[in-house]
Amino acid sequence: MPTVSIYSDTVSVGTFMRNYLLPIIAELPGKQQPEAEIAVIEMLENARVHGNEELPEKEITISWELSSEALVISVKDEGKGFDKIIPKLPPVTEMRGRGLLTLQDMGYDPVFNKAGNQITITIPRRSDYGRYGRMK
Amino acid sequence: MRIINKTFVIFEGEKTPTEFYEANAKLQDAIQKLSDANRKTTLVIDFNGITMAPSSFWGTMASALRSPFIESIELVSVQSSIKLSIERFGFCTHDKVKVFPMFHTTEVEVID
Repeated sequence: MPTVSIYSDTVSVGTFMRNYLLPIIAELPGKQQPEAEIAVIEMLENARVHGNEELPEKEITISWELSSEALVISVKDEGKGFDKIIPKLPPVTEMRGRGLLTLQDMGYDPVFNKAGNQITITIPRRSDYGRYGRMK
Repeated sequence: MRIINKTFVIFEGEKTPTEFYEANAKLQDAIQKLSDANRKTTLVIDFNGITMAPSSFWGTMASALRSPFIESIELVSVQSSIKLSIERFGFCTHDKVKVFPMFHTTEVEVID
């Protein structure tokens, strides 16, 4: 399973997406690609902002595996982790708290490790997925 | 993304979520400059065909709503999928936010 570590800043996240993940996501069915891209960005932002508390010297470690059935991707941060993560709609003026909700809305079922600092999602190869995981 | 002046932001080539994510950092800077300018204004954001936005953009929207110097936010050229997110996150109910499905010309004061 390929594994890459990046620094915790928006430029590194964007560069990683372009150089590593977008070529992988391009292997998924075309209609699925924008959602998959958003999903990975949400995972990376969650690690950068919540896990690593926007400290650019901290690292985010990403591993992924693409098979004929699915893309499985894990993102780990250097944070202490969370005991229980239940996404809920934040107040409209709250800057944070929409990432996991977006993953959930898209129909992904994030799995966390015991420490709560690694998130894994499975993106099945589907050609009949619409926005937010709704079947067309 | 091109910032025409301090109040008008138009997304141009950012068609993919990653491009939009990267442009959002510039948008955050633009909003900070608006606040630093210490004068009230309207923020106009032209989505220009963008269909999906990462949640970091909605965080930027939230920060703009908190700014006492941004009196209103006009979201223009809003496609249905973006409108879904606007509704989902409750921005459509905020009295500072106006949503226009088509391009909407507005009086923009050039303060540069």
